[in-house]
Parts: sequence; structure tokens; C-alpha cells
Amino acid sequence: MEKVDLRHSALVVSNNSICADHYLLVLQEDTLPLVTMPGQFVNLRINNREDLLLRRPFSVSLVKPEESLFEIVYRIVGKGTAAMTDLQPGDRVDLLGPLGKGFTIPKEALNCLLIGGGCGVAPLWAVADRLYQNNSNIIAILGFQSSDMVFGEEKFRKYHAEIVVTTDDGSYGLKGYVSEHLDKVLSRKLDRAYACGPTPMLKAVAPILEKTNMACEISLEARMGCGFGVCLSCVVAVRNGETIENQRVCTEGPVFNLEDIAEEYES
Amino acid sequence: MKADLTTHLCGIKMSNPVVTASGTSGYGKEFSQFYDLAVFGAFTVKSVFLNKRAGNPTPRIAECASGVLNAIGIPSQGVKHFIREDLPLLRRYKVPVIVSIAGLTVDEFPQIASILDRQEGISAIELNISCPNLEAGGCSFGADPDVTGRIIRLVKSATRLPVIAKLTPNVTDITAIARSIETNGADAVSLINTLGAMAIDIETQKPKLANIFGGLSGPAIKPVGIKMVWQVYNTVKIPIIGMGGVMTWEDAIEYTLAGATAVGIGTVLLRDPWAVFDIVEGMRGYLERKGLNRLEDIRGKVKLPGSV
Repeated sequence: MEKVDLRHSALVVSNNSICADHYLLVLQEDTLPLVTMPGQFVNLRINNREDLLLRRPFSVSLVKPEESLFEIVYRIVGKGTAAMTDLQPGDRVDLLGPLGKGFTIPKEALNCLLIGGGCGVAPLWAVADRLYQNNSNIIAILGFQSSDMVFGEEKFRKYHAEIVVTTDDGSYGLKGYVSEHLDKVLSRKLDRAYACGPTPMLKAVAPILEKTNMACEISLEARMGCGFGVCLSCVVAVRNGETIENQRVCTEGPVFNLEDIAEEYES
Repeated sequence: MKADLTTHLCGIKMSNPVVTASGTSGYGKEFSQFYDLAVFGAFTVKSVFLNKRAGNPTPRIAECASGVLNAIGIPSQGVKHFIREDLPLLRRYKVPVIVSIAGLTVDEFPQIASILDRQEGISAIELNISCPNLEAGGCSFGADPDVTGRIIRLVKSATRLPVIAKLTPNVTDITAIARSIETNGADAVSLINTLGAMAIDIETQKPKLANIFGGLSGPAIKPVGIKMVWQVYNTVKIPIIGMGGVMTWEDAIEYTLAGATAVGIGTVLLRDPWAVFDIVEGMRGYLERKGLNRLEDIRGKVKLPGSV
């Protein structure tokens, strides 16, 4: 059996703040089989620090295979992500990847809805990039906490997407959560939806999307141990025929069909 | 001269002393995608229960300084599923397989052992009498010397396979438990399991684990493991699989000096599945640098104050 080596050492090209609490980390790695499915992730070791024991998983937001480049957007939420802001161009990052199953991109041109929240907006860049290549029509609804945390609109504009932005406090775009404004875009002709964002956002949009007949894929967040399926930390209840079973977000996911994600994402 | 890491543990001949710690490497499927499992001296599988069980709600894992708290809750498909679906893959590798088993009751231990006894490709049974996650308050079979001894006796009469008892550190006197399992016929002892632990997210003011309590592993617990291995080494004659926070070959050597015959690795594999290669080669390099041929030359040979 052919053995897989997930170990890579990526070069930091840049690591810059893009809005409050959020950074864009651009990495270069020649040997990484650059992620073929948008929504796959890499598991980073933080500055080789032993006190920050576990790796941190990040969905890849965009790949530029011709330059061996890929990007990650992270938000400072704890000690690990805070330490990542110390990364300087020229540093090396130890990572495992690519990991997990990403979004599926249709072969034909479709009308696609992208639903993103916070950091989860970034992996949708890669989806938009691929959809644009097959001439799909893209509508993106993007939610952020407030105007100082809005990022990445211009990336979607590049793919000629129609963009709706919401902020929780109304300081930019429409006031409220994306789930509260979803009806504005659902009236349009749509074939497929892709969602990525924090769990509360996914839980809020899931029942609304369920009522439509379109195929929906959602990328789940989960607290992970290993990222490659062995520790069973990141399970989620998934419908499998008549039964409901735990599946691993890191291995069977992080992207799931909405219809397979059991009750907790639908009620 | 190349040092020989060949290790003999209760009748199991291992190419080196490094074994997987139960629960951190599943049933071998994931790691077999990365490398030949024969790199390990032995492969200890995640604990197998008699019947199917789902495990705990999430979050199941949290990090602390140099440690990991987990409360996975040992999901298991049950022993028959293990035999049918998981054991065949392990048999394909030239690695001794140690099957960890766990029961909800005392009687389930011998029941599972007798089912496994008839199977090809199992070198030993390890009794998970120590997982602190399964019962409220973290108490477990393994905290009581009498219950522990009874489980050993029942399992010994249910199987011809060597029986390894895995001890919990969450006890007042580890030597009392060690003495009981040896008296009752255990062939080897492994220690330590995780330490009972809890962590709170101060922003949400909720426990970081859905189960509230979990087991602590990683470098944070290594000094506890070293102490307990040394205590048990001085209490019983059966061989010891030492574990708890082994991340490097230096840690593995430290456990050997404390008296371990074999060394378990777990948490490190979650971060670096390939760490086993460096640990095995590092142990060999250490022996060679010290001009020694075998691990026996350093096993339990920590130099105490006053010794030369």
C-alpha cells in the first residue's frame, strides 16, 4: 500500500493583520500536494512550542499552485493564535496536510450562494475561485461582528460575485446576522449553497437552508486533537440512512452535506 | 557495535521497547496509511468494550500548558466488530498486538477476554481498569486493590493470553494496587493512565470539556509517571510498560532508568504520528553513546543519592 506523508515545512511569505483580530498568513511549500478541494485544512504546529502542545487546524482559504502559495486567515482567539502573530517572513511552519474533505465544485456553471461568517469567509474565497473558473454565478452573503472586522469583500468582487454584507451591530452593511437576511438572497434562482462560519451561524442558517430544495454543503468547526482521524475528539452526529452515527469532522468532514447533519444543526 | 533494542515482555518478543499507548492510535488504520506499523515494538489498540457505545458529547479535548485534557469516553463498536473489522488489518503487520479491553462491570472483563482468546494475532490483553472518564467523580475499578485483583483473576482464568494491567495514577498508594495485581497473576503492568483533571473557560465560565472531568496527558504528567514507575519497579517483579508524557527519546530513556521494560507513547502521536521513528533511533543512539548494548543495562539503574 502506498504510504502518505503529510509532513511539510512551509515558508512564511507574509503574516499581516487584515482587520481587527484577524491575520492573513501566506505560506509557500513546494512539496505540499496543493489542496484540490476548497475547504480542506492544514494542521499547524505553533512555533515549535511544547507548551502549546497540539496543532491548530486552519482551512485553506486560497491556493495559487503556480507559485506554490496558499493562504490561511486566522483570528486571535487564544494563546496559540496569539503566538502565531509572531511569525515573520522567512520563518518555517511545521504542518500536516492537506487534511479532510472539502467542498465539491460542480462541473457545470450553476447559480451558487456562499454564506460566510467571520473567519469562515476566507475558505469561501477558494470556492468562489473555482466557481468563477466554471462560469458559475456567485452570490455571497458575509457576516461579521462589526465594521472593524469586515474583510475580504474585494476578493469576492474579483469573481464578479454579488455581495451582501451584514454586521451584528449594523456598523457596516445590513444590521443583524446573516441568517436574518438570508431571505433577501433566497428569493433568487439558486442551485447550490456553501456555508462556512462559526457554529452558531451554521445552526441559524441550517433550518432556513433546509426548507429550500438546493444542495447545501457546510463546513463545520470542531475542537480537534490530531486532525487525521485517530483521537475521535471532533465527532459530530451524522445521519447515515436510518441511523445516526458519530463521524469525524477532521476526516469525514469538515465539509458535510447539510441534509446529513443530524438534528443539532437543524433545530 | 549497534545496540540491540530487542525487548521481551511477558513472552512477547518486540523489536524495540516503544509501544502505542491505548486510545491514542485507534486500531491502526490511520497510522497504517502513514507507515508500516512494525516500527512499533507492539501496538496497543484503543480499548474494546463488550458492546457498542457512543462516547461522550463534545468538546472532548482541551489543551493546557504542556498537556492535553481528554474525555473522549471510549467510543467502541464492541468486541465482535473489532474482531471482524479491525483485527484483520493489524494481522497484516509484523507487530505484536496488545488488545486493551474495558468493561462496564467486573464480569464484562472476562467475557471480552474469552471472546478474544480464540482469535489469531493477539499477543496480550491489557486491562483498562483505570480510565478516569467513565464514571462520575473519576473513580474506577483500578482504584480498589481488591476489585482490581478480582478482575485479574477472572481474566486470567478466561484466557491463555498474557494479561497486562494498566494502572490509574488517581490513587493514594500505587504500590498497593501493583502488589494486588501481581499477587493475582498479572503478567505485566502498564502505567500511568491519565490524571483526573478539569479546566474552565473563564470567558464562558463553562468547563472546557462537555464531560466536565477529563484525563490529563502529555509532558505535564511525565514526572508523575516517572515517580510511579520507580515506585512500582521497587514493589513488583513483573515487567513494566512505562508511559505518561513521553514526547522524545530522552523521555523514553528516563522511563527506562526508572524501571520500565517497554515505553508507551500516546499524546505525541496526536501531534507527530512519525515521532516513533526518532524515539526508537534516539534510544539506540543513547545506548551506543554510553557504550552499552542493551536497555537492560540501564533499566531501573537510576543513580540515587549516595550511589556511585
